[in-house]
Amino acid sequence: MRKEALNSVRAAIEANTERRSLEQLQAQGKRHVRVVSGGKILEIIKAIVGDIVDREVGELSKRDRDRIVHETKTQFDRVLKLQNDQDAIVREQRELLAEHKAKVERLERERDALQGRLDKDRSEQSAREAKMLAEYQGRLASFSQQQGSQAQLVSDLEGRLAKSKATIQNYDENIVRITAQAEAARQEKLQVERERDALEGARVESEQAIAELEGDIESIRARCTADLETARTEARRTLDAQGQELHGLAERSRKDGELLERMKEALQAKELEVHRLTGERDTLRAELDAARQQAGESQGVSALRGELAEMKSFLRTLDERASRVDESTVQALLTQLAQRETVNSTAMEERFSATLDKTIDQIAKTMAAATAKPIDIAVEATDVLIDRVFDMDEEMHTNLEQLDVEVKTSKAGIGGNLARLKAMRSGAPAPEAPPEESAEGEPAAPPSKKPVSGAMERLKAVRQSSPAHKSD
Amino acid sequence: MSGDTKTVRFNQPAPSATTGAAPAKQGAAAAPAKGGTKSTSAALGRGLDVGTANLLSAMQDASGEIVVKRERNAFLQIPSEFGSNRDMLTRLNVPYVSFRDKLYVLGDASFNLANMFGQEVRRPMCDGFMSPNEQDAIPMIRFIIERLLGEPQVEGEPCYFCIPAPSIDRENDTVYHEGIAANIVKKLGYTPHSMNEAHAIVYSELADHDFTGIGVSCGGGMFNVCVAYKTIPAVKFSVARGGDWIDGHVAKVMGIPRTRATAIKESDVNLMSPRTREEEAVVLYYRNLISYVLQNLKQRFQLARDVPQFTDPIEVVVAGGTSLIGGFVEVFAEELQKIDFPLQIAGVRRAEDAMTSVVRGCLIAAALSEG
Repeated sequence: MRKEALNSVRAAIEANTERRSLEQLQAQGKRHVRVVSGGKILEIIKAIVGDIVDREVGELSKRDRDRIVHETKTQFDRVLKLQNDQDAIVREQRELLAEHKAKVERLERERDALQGRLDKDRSEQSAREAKMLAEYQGRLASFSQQQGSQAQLVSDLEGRLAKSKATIQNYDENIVRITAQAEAARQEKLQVERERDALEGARVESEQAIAELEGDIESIRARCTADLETARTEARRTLDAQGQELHGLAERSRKDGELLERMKEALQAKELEVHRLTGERDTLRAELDAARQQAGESQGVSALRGELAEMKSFLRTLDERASRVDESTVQALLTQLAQRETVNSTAMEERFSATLDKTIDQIAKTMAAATAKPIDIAVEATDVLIDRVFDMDEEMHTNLEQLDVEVKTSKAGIGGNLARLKAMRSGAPAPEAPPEESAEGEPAAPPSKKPVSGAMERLKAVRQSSPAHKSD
Repeated sequence: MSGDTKTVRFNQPAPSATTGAAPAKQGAAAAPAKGGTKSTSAALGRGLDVGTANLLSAMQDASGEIVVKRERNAFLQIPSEFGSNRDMLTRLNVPYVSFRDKLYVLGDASFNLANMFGQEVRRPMCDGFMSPNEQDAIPMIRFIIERLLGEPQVEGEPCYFCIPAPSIDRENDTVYHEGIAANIVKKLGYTPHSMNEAHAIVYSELADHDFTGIGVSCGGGMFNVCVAYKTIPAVKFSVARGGDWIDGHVAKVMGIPRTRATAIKESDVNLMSPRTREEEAVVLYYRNLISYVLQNLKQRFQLARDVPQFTDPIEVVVAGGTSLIGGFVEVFAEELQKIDFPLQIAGVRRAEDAMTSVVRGCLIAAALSEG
């Protein structure tokens, strides 16, 4: 056996044995003991193991034998360790047991001490209580003498106590009520604050919206004002040009009028001349008649008659020519003047109307352009959509045809309304249409012919009053 | 709404004979005069009120009475597994439409089920017009209209449906709205015609005044106004504010849910005597809305050209669900007197049957077109 195995067995023996002195043995009454040496034990074990192995296994090689020994040693060590552990546990348990026993003894001692103290306190307490009882009984005896007067006092005190309690209860109720009121007021205040905040927010939003709108209005107003100013300036310019043109036309008309006046004067002069010549002729005729009456017919009379006839024919020719010329001239002049005036006034008015219409249209267009929205032509393929919805009928299932709808009869009928509508349709007059208005807001006046027609009338009157016409 | 005033008269000289005498009680003129209807009854013709909150149809039955059908303009999609037993839905009188794998409940039933499923109903229309964003809604509104109109009595029977005027304060897709409604009606076999909804009120409520006056339709999505002279509309416009606008603003300023604001507004409130802070808020926004409408009416009237001359004071008639609140007529009259209106107003009154005034006007137009 190897040295390691020997050491292990030795350790096992030492672990499972204990030293005892000779005196101890003698104290135990032992007089004789068998002493076994470790070496002997080892040899015994070795022999036993060898016999067993030989008997059970047979001849083993040295290597096998060493292996078996090694395994046996390992097993032995393990068993030894287990045994040592168990011994340690046993020792530990013994120690714990010893501790518990000591603790139990200590607690018992304490219990005994406390029990003794308790008994002592109880006895003392009993003595004190007895003493106090005696004392109270003495006091009670003395108090009973004053009981009569104190009972009243007690009842008074009880009454005052009840009143105080009621007062306190009232105070408590008031406190609760006031607390509730304060809470309600606080809630109300919070609510008001919330409302105020909400209104403040709404006010701010409104102000912002108003500011934006005002900005938009201002810009539109400025734009419209600028456009209006431009249109106004252009209209003024156009009107000025038209005014100047009208002035030119008026000047020309004035000049034509002057010419007409001059021609009228010439005509009047000619009429005077004719009148004078007619007067001279009448005078000559009168003289001739007078001379004829005085001198009778003479040769000179034939000559004078002949001359008179010539003069008459000459005057007549002159008169006719003058009247023809005058009339044709005047007629031409008057016609020309009438046309020119008509044309001028009509043209002026038409031009003015056209210019004003144009200016108003321009202003209207400018305003419309300032506020115009793009023309929107909307279209929706709703018919296609609905066709598709109805095409899905086969995929849809419903119970609507099996159910009733809420039905009620209307309190109001429609018979009277229908009758009235039909009556209106058949015989009611159409709404009064407003009168047609021109652009200026007044009915357009026909071209003025007053100046021309008046002149014609005057001329005709003059002609009718002239002696040349009267003689015819 | 007990004690609610329905008519307010302004002190005016007596009207001349051209526009008729002072009107008799509206009930007398609009009462179902069965004798009168027999002689002027027009059995053919339908009226259709396409409103944001409700759809109504009207027709004359054989006895001449006006039969009105109503359905809420709403629908709800519910999970298909809940609608597996469709016979049960039918027995419970719940109208539904199933399309592919989806199930839709229509009308009033959708509101009841919405609470159950914790969802919101969907609206085919928003602020008075068809909502182009709700493409699913078009088949739904088609079925609702079909349910209300039914089969035409003859092919091509005229059906007058109301449309709002373009709004002055919002961009509206009037072409889309009118196109959808007209094409649905046409597909159902009717001949569709559109008319302004405030003009329809003139037809139904101003017969005693030769159809001369101002009609105001107070709806959930918008207010429509029409000034008419002997049936001819002179001024028409709308504002994109209505009952829903009031609900939203009251809810916002008071910090309460919108449904609560709606409930307050539809409870026993009188605009002339609010009792709580919420009711005061309702009054404030009602007054603001009425003033807004009147101010814009005044401006529109002043800017309009070719406006006829009203020789006598004219009547203002209001109708629609939003006008049903107590004190509405008095508040309207008060606001009207605050502004310097270019026309003389004889008085303000609410239609006797405010919910059906528009659809009756459409029916009148349809019956008139039949001769």
